[in-house]
Amino acid sequence: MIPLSIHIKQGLAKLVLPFLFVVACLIMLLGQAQPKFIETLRLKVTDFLAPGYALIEEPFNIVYGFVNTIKDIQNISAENKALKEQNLQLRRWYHVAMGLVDENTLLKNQLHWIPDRALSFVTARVVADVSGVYHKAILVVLGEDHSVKPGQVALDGFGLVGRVTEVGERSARILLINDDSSRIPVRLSNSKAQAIMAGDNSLYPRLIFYPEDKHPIEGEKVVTDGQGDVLPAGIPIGYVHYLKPGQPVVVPYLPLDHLRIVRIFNYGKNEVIAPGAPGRVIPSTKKNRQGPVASPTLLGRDE
Amino acid sequence: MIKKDNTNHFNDRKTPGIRPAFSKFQHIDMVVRSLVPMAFTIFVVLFLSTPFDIPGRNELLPAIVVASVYFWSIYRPKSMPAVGVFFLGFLTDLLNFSTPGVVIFILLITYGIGVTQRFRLAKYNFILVWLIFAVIAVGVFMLQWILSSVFSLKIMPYTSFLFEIIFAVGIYPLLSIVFAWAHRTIANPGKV
Repeated sequence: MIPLSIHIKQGLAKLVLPFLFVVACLIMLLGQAQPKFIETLRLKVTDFLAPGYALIEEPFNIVYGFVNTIKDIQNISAENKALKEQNLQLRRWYHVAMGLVDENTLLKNQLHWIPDRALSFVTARVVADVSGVYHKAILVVLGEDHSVKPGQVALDGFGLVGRVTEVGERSARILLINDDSSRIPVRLSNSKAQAIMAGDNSLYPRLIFYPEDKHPIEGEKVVTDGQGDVLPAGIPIGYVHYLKPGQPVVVPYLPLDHLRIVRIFNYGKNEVIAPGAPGRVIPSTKKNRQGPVASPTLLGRDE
Repeated sequence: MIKKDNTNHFNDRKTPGIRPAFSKFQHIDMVVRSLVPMAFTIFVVLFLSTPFDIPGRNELLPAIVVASVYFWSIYRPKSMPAVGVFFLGFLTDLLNFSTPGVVIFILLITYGIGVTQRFRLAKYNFILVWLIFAVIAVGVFMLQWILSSVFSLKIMPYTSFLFEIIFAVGIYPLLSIVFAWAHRTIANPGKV
């Protein structure tokens, strides 16, 4: 340590705060000029902390589990009754579905239908909600040698939740569909109209740019549209709901703030490489080339 | 009669007198106590990032961090040094994937106001300190909104920024009860 007089020491102590202000401004400029640098730093930190999150979470999970068990015990008989009824209904639906599957196979055979490629996906645990005040994203933890790439699609048990934007060694960040910068081309199942689903940081993304003569119908299903080669067509997202007259939103099947486990699908969307544009998420590298997808099978059922 | 707590006085190094030297464990104790405010704030940043059903979690995080920096910069800046505030802001920025530097900037402003006006602020009663905090919260969160909007070249939704202010102003009294207690007990290095 260099010996300094008390005066110099006091002077230096006064300079710390202005100096830090300057550094903060520099970081802000660096974040704009060199976003790659900040991105790598970020991923290093999140990679390092990803197992730590699980550690913080675990004791609370135990408490949550315990409380839930007690709640379940309280209304066990009512739930049992409801479940039995539901089970009967589901059994009926199961037979209907099986019949339809058989019929579908038969018809496809007659048409010499080219079968869909079985899609590969990885399932990952959501360890952290990395949403800030002005954007919505989640962090998932992955194994050391994962094959997840930016641009791949993330689904929960029922439908689309977002897209992978940054990938680290052990973790990946998924930008959710309700983020303010998310714009996804969608198709409405009943009215067959196309629209854009625009996130606005609330739980329900808005529907915009739908045709004037075909307004979305309350309750109809919303699926992705293959336009723009950003996402494969036909992934379910949710259903239409009107918060106010003239303000249709998409309600995802599972609430986007309670995500615990997501599946990341590799749709092999790297056959066509779109021209670069500012803000575009590059689908992935050329390494694993795969054939184009005619219509993606979501549930991965084997026929 | 309440027994007067004179441990503070006993180990007060400012008054002249003969005292026993600190043992190694007392030193460790003092260090740990002086780290409590920083450790608490870092824990809040990490804890509010885990996916629990805490309502308004994203808005609550900056609110608590700003309140914590404000309180400790007034009442014990030694436990909340400027460099520490800087890294706290940086950690929040990195973990939340927000525009880098913005949270650092607003935390440093809060810290700067707290630490330069601390002798004046510490004399005021609670309501006045709270009111001044409310003014600071409105200022810094508005600045955050402006900076975020400028850097992403579009107007950000203002609802979350209003929520941030409401949370910050609302949680400050609660936090200051906890912090004031910690200030006297577990976070007090003079109490070794």
